[in-house]
Amino acid sequence: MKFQAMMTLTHSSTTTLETYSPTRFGLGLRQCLLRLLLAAGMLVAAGGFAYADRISDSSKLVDSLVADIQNIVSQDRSREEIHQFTNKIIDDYFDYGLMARFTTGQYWRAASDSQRQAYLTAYREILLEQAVRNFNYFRTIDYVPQGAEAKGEKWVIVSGLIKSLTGENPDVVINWRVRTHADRPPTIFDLEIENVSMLITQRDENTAVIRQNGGDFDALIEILEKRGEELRQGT
Amino acid sequence: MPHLPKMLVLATIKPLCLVLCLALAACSSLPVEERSDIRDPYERGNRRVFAFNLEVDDWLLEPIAKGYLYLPAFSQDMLTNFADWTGQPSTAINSALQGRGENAMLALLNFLINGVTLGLADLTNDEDDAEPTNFNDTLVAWRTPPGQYIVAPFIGPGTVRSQLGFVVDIFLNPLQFASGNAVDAVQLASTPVSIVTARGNNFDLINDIKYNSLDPYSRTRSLYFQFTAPDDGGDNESEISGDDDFDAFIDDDFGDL
Repeated sequence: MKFQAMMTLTHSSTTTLETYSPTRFGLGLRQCLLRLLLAAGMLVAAGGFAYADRISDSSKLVDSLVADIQNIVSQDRSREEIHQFTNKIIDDYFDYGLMARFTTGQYWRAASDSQRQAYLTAYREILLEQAVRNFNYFRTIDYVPQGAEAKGEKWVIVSGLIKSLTGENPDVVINWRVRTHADRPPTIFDLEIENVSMLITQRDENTAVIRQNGGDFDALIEILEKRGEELRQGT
Repeated sequence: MPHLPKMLVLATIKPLCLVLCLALAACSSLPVEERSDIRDPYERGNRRVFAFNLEVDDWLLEPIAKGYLYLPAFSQDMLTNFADWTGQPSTAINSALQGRGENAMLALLNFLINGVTLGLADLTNDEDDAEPTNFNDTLVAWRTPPGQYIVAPFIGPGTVRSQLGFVVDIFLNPLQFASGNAVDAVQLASTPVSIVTARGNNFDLINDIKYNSLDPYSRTRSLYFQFTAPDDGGDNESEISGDDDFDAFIDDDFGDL
C-alpha cells in the first residue's frame, strides 16, 4: 500500500510538471529529477518493507524459540538431553559470541585469545548449567506474545508476558532484544525482565570481579569455572 | 509520659541514624579509576556494610522468612495486606506532596476502609488500590538528584536521596501522632512485618543473589540501578532499559569484530 501510494504520488507529480515544462531542456531536467524522485520513492518503499520484515522476522524468531522450549518441556527428558537441547538453543537463536563480549565490557579488548576462549567456554557452561537447573520452572509458565517494535536500525524489541500456570505469581513482562542484520537472519542478544537486563547485570558483575582483582581477567575465568563446577555438582 | 512504642521507635531510629552517619564517615571516597562502578564512590565502606547486612540476613531474616513461607497462603496474605495497609498513610501524604490528588484519596480511602480489619483483609478492589509511593518518589518529583550509592546497615542499598527518604517516611507517618493501644500495636508491628513479608515474598530472588552470584554486592548494585532507572528520570518514553549501553557497544568497533 505504501509503495502504491508512493507510485501514485510520483505519477501525479509527473503529470503536473510535464504540463508546465516550456522547453525541451527543461523537460529533460525535470524527467531526470522525476526519475531520481521515483528511484528515491522506490528505495523508501523498499526500506519500509525491509523495516516491516525485520520486525516480523524478529517476532517469528522469538515465537520459534518459545515453541521449541514448550515442545521440549512437554516431554520427560534426561539431564543430558536438556543439556544438549540448551546447547542447540544457544547456537540456533542467540548471538552467543557477541553476548559474551558484551558481558566483559572494556576488558575484552585487553584479553588474549586464550583468555577469550576460556571465558567463552566458562560462561557458556554457566548458562547451560543454570538452564538445566531451572528447567522445571519452564513447566510452570506460559508465554503470551505482546508485539514488537524497532529500536533504531539495529535492534528490535519483542515483548511478551510470562504467565504463571499455577496463578501464584503475577504476570511478568519480558522483552527480548533482537539484533537484526542486513545479510543474515536476526539473533537474540539479551532478555530483559521487569526492566532488568540479563546482560547488563552480568556485565556489571563481571567487570566488578575483574576490578576487585586488580584488572586480572583470569580471576574472572577462575571464578566462573569454579561456579560452573559447583552448578554441575548441584551445590 | 511518652508511649512505649514511640520510645521503641525512637530508640531504634536514633542508633540507626548514628550507625548510618558513622558508616558514611568511615567511607572514604575512592578515586574514579579504582571504582568498580562510577556511581559507587564509597564502595569499600559499602561492601563492609553489605557483608554485615548479609550476616543479619543469614542469622535473622532468612530463617524468619523461611518460617513465613511455611504459613498457609491466607496467613501470608493477611500479613502482606497488613504491611501494605500500614504504608497507606505515607502513600497518601507523599501523593499529596507530589500533586497526585487522586492517588492520595485512594490511599486514604484504602486506609480507612481496610482499617476496619486493621489492614489484615483487603476489602477494596484491586483497580482502586493506590500506587504505593514514598518520600524518595516525592524528592524525585521535586527533581532532587539521587546522590551517591549508599548501603545502609539493616536498610540495604539506596542512594543518599532514597536513604534520606526512608528516614523521613518514618517521621512522616501520621500514626506517630496518634495514640491508643491499637495504634501502638500497629506501630510496633508494622516495621517487622513489612521487613519479613518483603523478604519472604522475594525469597527466591534474594537467595539467588546471595548464593548464585559471582559477586553478590555488585549484582545487588546493578539490579538496584536498573530497577530504579525509570524512576530516576531515565528513558520515560520506553520501558526498555540500557539502550545507550547496547548502542554504544554495537557502535564501538569491537562490537562487530
